[in-house]
Amino acid sequence: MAEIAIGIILLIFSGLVYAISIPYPFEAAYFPRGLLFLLASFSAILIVQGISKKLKAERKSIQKFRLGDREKKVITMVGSSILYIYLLDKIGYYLATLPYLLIMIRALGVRRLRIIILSAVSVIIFIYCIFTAFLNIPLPEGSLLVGIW
Amino acid sequence: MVLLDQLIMGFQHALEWQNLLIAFIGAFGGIIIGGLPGLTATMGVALLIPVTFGMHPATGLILLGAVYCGAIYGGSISAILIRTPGTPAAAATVFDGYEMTKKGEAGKALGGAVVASFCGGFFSTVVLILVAPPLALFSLKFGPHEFFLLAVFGLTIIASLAGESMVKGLISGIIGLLVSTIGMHPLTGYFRFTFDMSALYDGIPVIIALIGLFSTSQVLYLAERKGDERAEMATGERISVIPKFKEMWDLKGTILRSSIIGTIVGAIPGAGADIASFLGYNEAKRFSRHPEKFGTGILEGVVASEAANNGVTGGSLIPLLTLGIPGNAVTAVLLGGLLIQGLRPGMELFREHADITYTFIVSLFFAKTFYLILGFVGLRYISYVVRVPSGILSPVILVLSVVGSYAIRNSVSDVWLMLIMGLLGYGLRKYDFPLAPICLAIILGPLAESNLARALTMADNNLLLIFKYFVSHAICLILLVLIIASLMSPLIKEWILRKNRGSVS
Repeated sequence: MAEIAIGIILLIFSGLVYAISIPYPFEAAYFPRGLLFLLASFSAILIVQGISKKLKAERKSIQKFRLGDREKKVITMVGSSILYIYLLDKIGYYLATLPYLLIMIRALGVRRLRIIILSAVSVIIFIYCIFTAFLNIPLPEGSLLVGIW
Repeated sequence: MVLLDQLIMGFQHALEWQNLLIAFIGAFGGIIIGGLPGLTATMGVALLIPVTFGMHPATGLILLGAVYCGAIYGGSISAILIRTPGTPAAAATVFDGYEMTKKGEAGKALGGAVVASFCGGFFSTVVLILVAPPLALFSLKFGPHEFFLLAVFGLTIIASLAGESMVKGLISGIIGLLVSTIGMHPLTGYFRFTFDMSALYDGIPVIIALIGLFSTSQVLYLAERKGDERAEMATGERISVIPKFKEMWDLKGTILRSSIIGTIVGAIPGAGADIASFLGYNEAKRFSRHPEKFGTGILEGVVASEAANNGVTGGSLIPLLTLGIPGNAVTAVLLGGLLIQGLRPGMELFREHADITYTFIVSLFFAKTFYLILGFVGLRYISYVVRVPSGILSPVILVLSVVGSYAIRNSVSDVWLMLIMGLLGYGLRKYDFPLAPICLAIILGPLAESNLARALTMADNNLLLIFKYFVSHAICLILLVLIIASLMSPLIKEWILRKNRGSVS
């Protein structure tokens, strides 16, 4: 089932990207268009493979789509990462990273508070020493806080 | 004589205290990364490339090379102690390594593994020094046609990196090639798939794509696990016991044989350290006077697998440094590290940048020496680190990925791109699409496209003329044969693995 769905998504994707490439001059378009043709062909093969697999084992593929604990954890991780990247642009790298680490380590199931704090603080110190102090690589300062600092 | 002079110069640079320190840190970091189940050498090297920006090119490459070597060895630690190979390269080490741990001989297994890893790695680096410069000379004869075929040959490796499903591997490769077309066309300067976003004008930087694909997707993968889970070691282990010199000396034949196997396998694009370790293990069993003892916990099994997988480290650098063809995912990422420092593989690397290249190659000896020392002195502590719960690992890797992707162009847009590539990587992995082909395609795509465009321009867009050129030039013909052989390689690989696994079990 998953393979059929992915195959269909890739076929639609190939069509959409091809449509985007229509106004491009030939020199710039032949390479991606050739690739899109190949992608569409292999997607069709994937769909055929998926159909033959589905006929063999239908139950197994349905189970993959259930939203279990694992999927919830991944969704939490993705959601929190989006929020974290948004925040680091606003309030700066270090101010966003410390709470992110503390919350995520806890959310991913580590119980002991001492380990959570120790891990988060050591990572912050490590990044500061390597990137800021040793390599002089500037990290986001936060657009909201730049004026204050 | 020139080679000797360049080697001496390489030794002088590699012996500078900063480079020695970096090699030590890289080897240590690599052992930890390799030892942690779920983290791979590829991920470690991808994550560290941004750290090398502020460094001298030679120092940066030393760090990446040391991490590569350290990680391939590090995989054996968790394979022996907790029956989980830290990297796929250590899969064959589990057979006898964990059995030895159960018998209370963990220290002996770990000691044997580190000595064999050192020997395998050392041997392959010597071969690299001897073989690479003459092979690089060959690359001077390459024009757009040859480079196009070389890139296609590199891309056919996708077939061998495809994993279980060839179709999925090919789809991954095409997605990677499509990603590589984002941005300005190499010859006409026309913007493609940029949607008027300035962050995409130069395309998706290779390193951003690699960090996203290998590190961020891994974060999401690790997040699926039970966060406070710590791997348990078998009871009765005695880490402090190390093998006696005589025990190791008796295994010199096995170590040498596996080192040769590893180096040859490493130099063949597409065949990685995992195949080398199985081959090394199987050949040791075939040559052994007591093959029935393999799998019951004997030192010979551990050293056979470890010398072979570390032999790959030097071997895989031969096609990478001479022709720019990465044979596996780690060397593909390493190629990204080379390119970002403005270094192009081929003769230029051995002539114009000989100081950097030989410093890098010679430093591999030191990196291996450092992990040998660390393997004996710090094993007790490292064995605790390999059991860090994934609940701590995943947010920490994400935070490091964010720093790494931001550091490339000091742009938060790159961090978003990294996250998008990570989600793509996770989604693909979730449905068994291999990531290595995408990585290879992103790197080789521009090489293939730009050289095809040049060849077409030279032939007035006449495909027949290009074809005539291909069949009338020796290098093109050799490359065409290699392309066909490479496309056939999955069948050969499957046959070898089936044969070896069959005889191992």
